[in-house]
Amino acid sequence: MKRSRMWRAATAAASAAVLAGALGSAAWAADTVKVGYLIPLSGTAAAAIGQEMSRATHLAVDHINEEGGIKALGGAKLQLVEVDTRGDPQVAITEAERLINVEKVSVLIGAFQSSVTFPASAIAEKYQVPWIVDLSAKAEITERGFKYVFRPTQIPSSGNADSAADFIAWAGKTTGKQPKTGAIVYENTDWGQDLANTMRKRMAEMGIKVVFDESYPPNSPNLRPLVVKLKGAHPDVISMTSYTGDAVQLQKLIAQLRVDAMAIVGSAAGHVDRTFVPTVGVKAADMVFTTNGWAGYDSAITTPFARRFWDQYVGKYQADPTEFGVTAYADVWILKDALERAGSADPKAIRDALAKTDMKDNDITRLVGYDIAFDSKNQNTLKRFVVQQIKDGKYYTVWPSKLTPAGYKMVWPVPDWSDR
Amino acid sequence: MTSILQALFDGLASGAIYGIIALGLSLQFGVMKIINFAHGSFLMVAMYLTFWATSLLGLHLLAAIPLVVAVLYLVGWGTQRWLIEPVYRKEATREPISVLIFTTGLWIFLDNLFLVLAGPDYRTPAGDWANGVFVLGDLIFTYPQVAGLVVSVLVTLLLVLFMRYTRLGRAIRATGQDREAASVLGIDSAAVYRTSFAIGLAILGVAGALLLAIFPVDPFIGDLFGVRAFIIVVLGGIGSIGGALAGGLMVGLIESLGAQFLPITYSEALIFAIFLAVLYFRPQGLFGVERA
Repeated sequence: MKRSRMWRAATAAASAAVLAGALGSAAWAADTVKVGYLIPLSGTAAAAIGQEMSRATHLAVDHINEEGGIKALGGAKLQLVEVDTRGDPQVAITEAERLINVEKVSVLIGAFQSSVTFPASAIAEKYQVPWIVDLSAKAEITERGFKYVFRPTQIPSSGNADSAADFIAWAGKTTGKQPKTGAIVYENTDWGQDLANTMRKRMAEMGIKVVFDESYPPNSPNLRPLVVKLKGAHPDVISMTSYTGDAVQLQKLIAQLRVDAMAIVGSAAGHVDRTFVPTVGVKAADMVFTTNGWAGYDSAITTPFARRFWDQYVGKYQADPTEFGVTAYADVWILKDALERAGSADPKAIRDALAKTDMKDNDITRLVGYDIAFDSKNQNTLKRFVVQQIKDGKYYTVWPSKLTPAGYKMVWPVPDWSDR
Repeated sequence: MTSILQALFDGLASGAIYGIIALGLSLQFGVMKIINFAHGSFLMVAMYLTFWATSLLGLHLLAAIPLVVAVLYLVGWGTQRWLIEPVYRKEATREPISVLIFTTGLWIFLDNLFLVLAGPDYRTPAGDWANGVFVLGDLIFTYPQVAGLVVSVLVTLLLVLFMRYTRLGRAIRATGQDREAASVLGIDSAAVYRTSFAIGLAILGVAGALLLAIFPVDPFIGDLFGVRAFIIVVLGGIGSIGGALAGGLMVGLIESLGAQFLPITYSEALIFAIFLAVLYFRPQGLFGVERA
């Protein structure tokens, strides 16, 4: 691993030296637009998610290039320079420097995890190269007064937790079965803490007494002690904030130890990962709720643009894309839109074009389910979460209720494990 | 109270599995004095073999154990014969430091090899057995927990008896105590090393199967449990077979019971604090024999 990276860096440095002489001042007027892509592909609980996002990103680049590339740049092709962050901020920082200074990328996309995106995007700001934040939700990412960091497809974590809290309040009211006590389980990271802080505040406002409030180190070898303790607290509703590996472990333990609650509400991420249901098992995952940044096939795959993405993704990878893939796919198209308006591969021109992004009712917004425009902090405030329930292995949108597929009826409270 | 009882049993069950993960390492460590950093990766290999035995061959997880054990025995023998032995021989007169570096390389190689072979996804064994539970009033025990506890104790017992009462076991111990003297007495130390390394990995095969029933496998799972195995070996006492199991049980209990009173993030720190305390006050480990 180390060796191959060194070798890669060495060849990259050598070819860059040759290229630098050849290109001279015309460095940005190339036939290709180099896009640096940082994503976790291994070594972390988020690797499975990173892989889905990477696949969708490659697909978007292929589609754009097949359609004739960037027309405003005389058909310049997008060239993806992909880097595996392994979920390690240090790796991402080093690689961001390399992508900018050695690979000479015009723009960066990444890096899924907040703990990685937050420090690494500061490098992009330093060198004045735009960074499109995909799904990192840490609020501070767009609170630093940065000019080059854009977040079109994610809102701060609090938006995720707020949606979950709104849903809990709504479900309690519509069914007449109000939860009295709550539990907050979250991974001990920036992202987990952000969500937990919001959920804690919202539960207090709703009059739900928090009887269990605990974090765990991500990628834990053994979460059984935590679940035993959780069971002893007898919460009515359980809020979970986890990546795939831990989400799977927690849900399996909850089923095994028969932790009965009116509802378990996940925070997207691990709970909407394509491996969640298969790894947990259809029975053990049944009736779990989760927020989702995307409303699913029935609500969003309505245009030829969306159908091409869906069909080719499914055809190529034998799996349905989720919010992760859909968002990654959309991010490249958002970049394409900016490149067409910039008419240049110069990072500064791309930044200025990105800042003026204004998408309403087009293919891309119909795919993701919300409009895209930036406020003064380069944050898209128009993104929303939905809440879904897993039933027999499928995700059904239950909130907002107008998106609920015909024929699906939400189960709240969910039955005890002994009655299933 | 129910929680405490549940946590007590859970601690013993996961501790037993930690113990059997560390058992093979303790044997290799105690006999050959080599630090096998690839231990966690071999555990990962055992877990994938078990996964494939259940998913591709349709075997019951427990029925897969003999198969996985056989394969790992051969892998262990081959690793020692063709990979470690040549490195070891070059440094016969000195501390075998290059073996340590070699096993570190093997660790990184295996992890990435399986990333290519199996992909980064989490895998759980096929079949419903791993989700089965015994319910005893408010207490719930899963089949894998009970199997893990019984099998781990049984394997440790068998290994202790083997080391004490068989000719080969005694040869292994003699070589561990003094290689030169053992050679003088006609023991072929190279053969003993191959066998010990192979037995160490065979036991890890059992551990991998038992662990897969409670924890999904991915190519980097070895990092998670490998470090823990070293702590347990040192805690229990280097070269003490029973010590590995005792060390494992201790870590399991601290983790499980500790978490009932402290935030779970601290119970991890507690394990390391106790580990450091043992190193400081009893460097030979809790059950280790003091050496001159």
